[in-house]
Amino acid sequence: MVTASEGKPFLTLQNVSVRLRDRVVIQDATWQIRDNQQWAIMGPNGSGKTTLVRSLWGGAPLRSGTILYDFAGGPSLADPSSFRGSIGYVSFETHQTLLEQEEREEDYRAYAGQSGPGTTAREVIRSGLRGTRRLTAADEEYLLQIARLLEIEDLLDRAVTSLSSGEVRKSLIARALMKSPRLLILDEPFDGLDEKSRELLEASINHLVASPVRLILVVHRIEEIVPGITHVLFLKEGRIFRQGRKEEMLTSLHISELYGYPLRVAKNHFHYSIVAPPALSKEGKDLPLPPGPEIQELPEIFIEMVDTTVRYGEQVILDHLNWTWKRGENWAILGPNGSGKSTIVRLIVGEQLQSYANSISLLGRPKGSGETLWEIRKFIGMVSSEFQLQYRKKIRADEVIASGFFDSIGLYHGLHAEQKELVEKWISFMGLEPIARKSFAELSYGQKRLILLARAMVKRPRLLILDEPCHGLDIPNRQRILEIIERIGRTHTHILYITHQLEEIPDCITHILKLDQGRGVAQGPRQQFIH
Amino acid sequence: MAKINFGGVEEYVVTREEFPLAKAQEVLRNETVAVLGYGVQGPGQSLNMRDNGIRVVVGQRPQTPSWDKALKDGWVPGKTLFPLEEAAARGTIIEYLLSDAGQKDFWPKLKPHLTEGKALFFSHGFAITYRHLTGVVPPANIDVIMVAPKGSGLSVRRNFLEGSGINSSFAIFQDYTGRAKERTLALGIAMGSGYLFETTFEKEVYSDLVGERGVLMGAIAGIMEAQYNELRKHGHSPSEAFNETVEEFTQSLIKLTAEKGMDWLYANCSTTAQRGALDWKGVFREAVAPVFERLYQRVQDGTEARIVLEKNSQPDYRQKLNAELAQMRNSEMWQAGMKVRELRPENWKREA
Repeated sequence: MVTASEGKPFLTLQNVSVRLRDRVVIQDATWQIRDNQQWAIMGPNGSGKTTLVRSLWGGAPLRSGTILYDFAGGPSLADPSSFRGSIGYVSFETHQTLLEQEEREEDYRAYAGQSGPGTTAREVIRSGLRGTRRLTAADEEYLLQIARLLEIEDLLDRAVTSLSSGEVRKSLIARALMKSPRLLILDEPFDGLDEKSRELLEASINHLVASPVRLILVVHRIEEIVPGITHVLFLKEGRIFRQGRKEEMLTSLHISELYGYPLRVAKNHFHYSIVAPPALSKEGKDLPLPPGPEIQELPEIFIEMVDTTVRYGEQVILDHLNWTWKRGENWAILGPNGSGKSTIVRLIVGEQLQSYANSISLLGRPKGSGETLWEIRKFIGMVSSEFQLQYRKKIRADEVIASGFFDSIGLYHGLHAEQKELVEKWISFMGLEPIARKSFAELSYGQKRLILLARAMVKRPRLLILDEPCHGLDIPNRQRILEIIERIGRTHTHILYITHQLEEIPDCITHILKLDQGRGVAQGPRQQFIH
Repeated sequence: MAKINFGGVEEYVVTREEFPLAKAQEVLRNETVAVLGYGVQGPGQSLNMRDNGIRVVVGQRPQTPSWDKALKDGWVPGKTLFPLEEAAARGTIIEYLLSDAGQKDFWPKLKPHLTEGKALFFSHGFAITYRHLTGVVPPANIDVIMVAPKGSGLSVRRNFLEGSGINSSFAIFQDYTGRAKERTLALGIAMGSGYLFETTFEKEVYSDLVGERGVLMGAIAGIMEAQYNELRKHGHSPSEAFNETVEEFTQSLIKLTAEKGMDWLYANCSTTAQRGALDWKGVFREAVAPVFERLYQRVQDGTEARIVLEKNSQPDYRQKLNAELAQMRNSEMWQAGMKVRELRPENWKREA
């Protein structure tokens, strides 16, 4: 008997197991979504969250068990991939797939000696509609509605390759909505979004919750479990650890058990949060740092940008920025999506080529004065989503860490004994032993993030650039990384930190630069901004 | 130079270990490299040299899409970006990277800028090897050199940024200054080569023209068409004929060949495929050997180059070419191919 209050079955998993290559990633998952429920999934890094939701639309083949698509008018045993049209999916992976496609298109154009802007956001969103039918006027109107909902109307005719990661993320959510899905799976949708966009997305999700669309939200931050979510599934080591109503699940006890780490959950009206997690690294292992220069051997001015402008035709990305980063200062850059934060990073590391058309000095050398890219990069360690997207090599995770010595993507050099030792020390210091000998390509998003942090640090950089370093990290890992960053910030390695999460800014940050629409709107000591 | 044994034949290669970047910078310290043409090879080579601390200027016709691309890439008009002739005047090394036909056309304007001691650099041996046809006859008091990266312009750039590198060949046609070789190697390393092997202008262009007319493009298409037609003649469906002729080759066998070599492929396929392939390999070789002999002859005597230049100078060539390409595109085999590609799993998966 199904009573009204229980709702009707919407999607049912019975004893589902999923194997990826030689590894069983999901084991024996039994789970039912009813049509009056909205679910969130939480679990430690590498627990199988992404694989579980991928299996729902056929993105990860079942090894055993069944999925019943009750929403398709009675339980259906058809191939999961035949439900792709009714399931919207947005994740870091779809982001990566989109950029890989764009890279291939660029290859085709380069081969043919053509130049072109590439796929626009509008074309990406349109591609959400199934089949190749022409869009009707009603479809176009619907597209505009979605774009307005997510406030991306102004971006529609820009190439996706020119958008910031937050802007791409919003375009992908719009693409998923374009097909009017029955089930919408958002895997870490808030990562990379600024505060305003997060509020917008939360409002949109709450709006969806009231519609016939069912939602599965995969999140690491308990704060992101929006009020409309009714149920939560905990995943641990590939198994369903616990599932049930939100209020019963999000307790200090259950969350602590899930992560194996004592955490206190607070609830304020409809929002949950974690109360200051306890420190992890009080055992006080030394940072594994090779000998570095004395502070006075470092240049007095690390970075100087004078009247720096980056533009593509009429479109201005960075607008007459003046900024100086001096020795002894750790900076954070704040600003909404598309305000130019990542452009500054790309100017520093030499990925934004208009650095040559500007007056920029890097570590005491004017850009374009005969220095090489490698002479600059050898002093810089970097972690960012953009860089993580570029790092697509099928090598072992410990080799990825070692590539930090050479600033390469992939490993093309042998290692000295001291270098090998440092790699091992960082693996041990960060607790990466369980993943260090695995293929980097097979790691989860959060696990890759940890490996790339070790890669950035292994050579003891003078400048450590951290662009949303905690993206994709579970609660203990986030805590662990923030503690490590705090300690690094007190060494001779200087930090440039970019985040949308104000509460995440480490104490070691001394200065803040605020950007808006490519302009530096405010800068100065931290106290002027955060009290 | 390192001596490397290629299947029993020894060749000399220069690696970046023996000719490091610092040495390349030293050799090029007082040079300005003018890269003429910001099309296919120009961006990768110029961007890599600039990122390696070499003084580079770009020459390109203003108000073209390539000029705009150069602006986007941080080249500054009047400082590092100039019209072709002005860049040529400023360069002590002139990288002539226009198309084969473009090199012939621009040559009279370039020549006055080739003053004593400069170096004229190519990435392809065409213009010099067929100079009786192209008119590209350099003055005797300059160096004439070549580095030809074995990859697209984009891969030259991508490999550089990843910290790997690309393989290149190099050649010296004329050494006036006595520095031609060090200039050549320095440029090769500065543009991102991992190692360089020596060739001549003639060998580079002959192998290139034979390769694209032969196995890489001409022969492969011809042999595929012949097999497809034969299968169709005997009642095989278009999809079956295409799958057994092209799809299996491009989707699986050629990738295994790239990773393991064709000897491995032969040693590890089914015994039926193995016996047949071993028996028929020789038959095909003997059948096409005379065709390759004729092809090489025509490349060597300039016939092929003359055809290219003559055709390209005909006013209605573009129109005729389009008709030829349309015929290929609309042929049953390549139309069937389009459908087969659409049906590949990765192409219907993309939806989600």
